[in-house]
Order: sequence, then C-alpha cells, then structure tokens
Amino acid sequence: MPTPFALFGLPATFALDLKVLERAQRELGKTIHPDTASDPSERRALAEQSTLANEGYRALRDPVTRAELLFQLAGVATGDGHEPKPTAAFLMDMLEKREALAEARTSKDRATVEALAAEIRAQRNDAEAALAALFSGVLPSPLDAQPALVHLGSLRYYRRFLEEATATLDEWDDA
Amino acid sequence: MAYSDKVIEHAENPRNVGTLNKDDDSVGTGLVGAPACGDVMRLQIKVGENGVIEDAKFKTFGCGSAIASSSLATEWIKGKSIDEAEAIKNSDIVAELNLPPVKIHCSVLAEDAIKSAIADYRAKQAAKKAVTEGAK
Repeated sequence: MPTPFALFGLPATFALDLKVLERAQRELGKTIHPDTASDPSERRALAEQSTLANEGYRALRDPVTRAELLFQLAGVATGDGHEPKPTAAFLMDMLEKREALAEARTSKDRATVEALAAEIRAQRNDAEAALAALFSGVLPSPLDAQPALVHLGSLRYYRRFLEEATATLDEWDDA
Repeated sequence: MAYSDKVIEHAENPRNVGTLNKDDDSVGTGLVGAPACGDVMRLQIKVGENGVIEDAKFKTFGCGSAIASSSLATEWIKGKSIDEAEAIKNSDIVAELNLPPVKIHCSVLAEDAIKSAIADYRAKQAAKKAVTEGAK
C-alpha cells in the first residue's frame, strides 16, 4: 500500500504546503470518485480507494500525524513508552497555561483566551519549523530522532490547548 | 470508546481537585505528563508529622481516564502512610476503574504522579534536616 505521501504524489517531508496537498487531493478525488464507475465491483474498489485517500489527506493535514508518519517511515517508534518525557519546566508551563485558559473560560474573558491561543500558536509554529528542519530532505535521510520526538510531544500539547481554546471561542460565538 | 461507569463517575465528579501550597515543607508536588497524548497531571500531598498523608489534591488536563485515575489516586492515598501510598501500583487503578488496554498509560501516569509527589516531599524533608543539623 502506498504511503499517503506517495498516494498524493508528494515528497515524504514535514514542510508541506497545505494548498498543494489540497490540490493533489482534489485531483486524485476526481479520478477515483465511485460515481465514475458503472460496474458495482469497480465502484466498491473506488470507494475503498476514496476512503484511503480521505484518511491519507487527514493524516497529512495534521502536523502531529504527519510527523508520526515520517517517524514511521524513518523506522523510529513513537507513542506510549517510546518518546522522551517532557521536562518539568515544559509541563509547568503547560499546566499554568491550561489553568489560565480554564479560568478565562469560566470568567468569559475572551481577550485572555485569544492572547493565550496566540502565544501557543507561536510556540507551535516554532516547533513545526524545528521539525521541518530536522526532517529536511526526503526520507530516508539521517534523522536526529530524540530532539524531533521532543518537538512531536510538544506539538500534541499545543494541539490539545488550541482545540480547547477554539472550542471555547466557538461556543461563545454560537451563544 | 466506551468508558466504564467508574471512570465516568470520577470524571464527572472528580474528588480532591485543587492546589496545596507547594512552598510548604510538608507538601510534596508531583508533576508528570504523557507526551503521547498531551496530558499533564499535578498531584500534591500534605504529610503529617507521623508520616501519614493528611490531604491530597490534583489537577489533570487530559482525557476522562486520566482524570479518573488521578481522582482515584488522591482518594486512595489520603490517610495512608507515604510508604503505603508508594506501594500503590498502576494495575490496582486499572482493576478498580476497568481501564481498557489503550488507557493503561493513564494509570501509569497516576502512579508516577504519586511517586513523584512523595519523592518531592522526601527531598524537602532531607533538605530541611540538613539545614537543621547544619545549624547545630
């Protein structure tokens, strides 16, 4: 089975232009749309390919899963028990920011939620830039796994934080 | 994924959420995280002169299982000696909460948090003792 990168004809690298990904997904989507087939078994096969393409697109669009995929291609295990523990300073910072976010949510302090989200977004962008540098070139290329895994762990914390902040803002917008 | 009733109960009504004064000599603070899911957990204990845990508080940002594991941990360690608390195993938490295999790391995090809080308390006591003895 081709990797999601190969599926969309993209190089296996972290720095990925999301617009290019979107275009590749649209192009692929046209050629494998189940409605283009008249034969039921062909239609089923195309439906399966469409599912794979959708899953691949989602995996590449999210920087966390994109990085996990690249580690997998590089033969580096990720996940529970395979990644370095975050430093105490990092955990303290994340805990304090999550507490501040929870307080701002309770007191309906939109400005604070937005400021915290902007701060985390900047940290996330830094981590993504660092990962792009570490995954420079197309795999298989030498990878300094430990620092890259630290950035991956940080990205998950940032993603969690931003999901929470976005959900809070959306909730207020809907109210 | 379906949570067990006990996880839901703890996640919806977590016990002992809060903060103890981390600068207090009798308070030990454990701060642990699971990078694979982006969870962060703080567990604090207040230890009496007799070595018994008088109070325990936690704050967890994570999934329901992580909240339930830390909530249960604080409930269990209150009234125990620090040696007894240290003997609590993540498998005890898994059994009590019926955690599925994919959530076992949440119980590991809670066990780590207890051990880390006790280690912090012991380090504080050792430092205090060193200062007291140095003053003699």
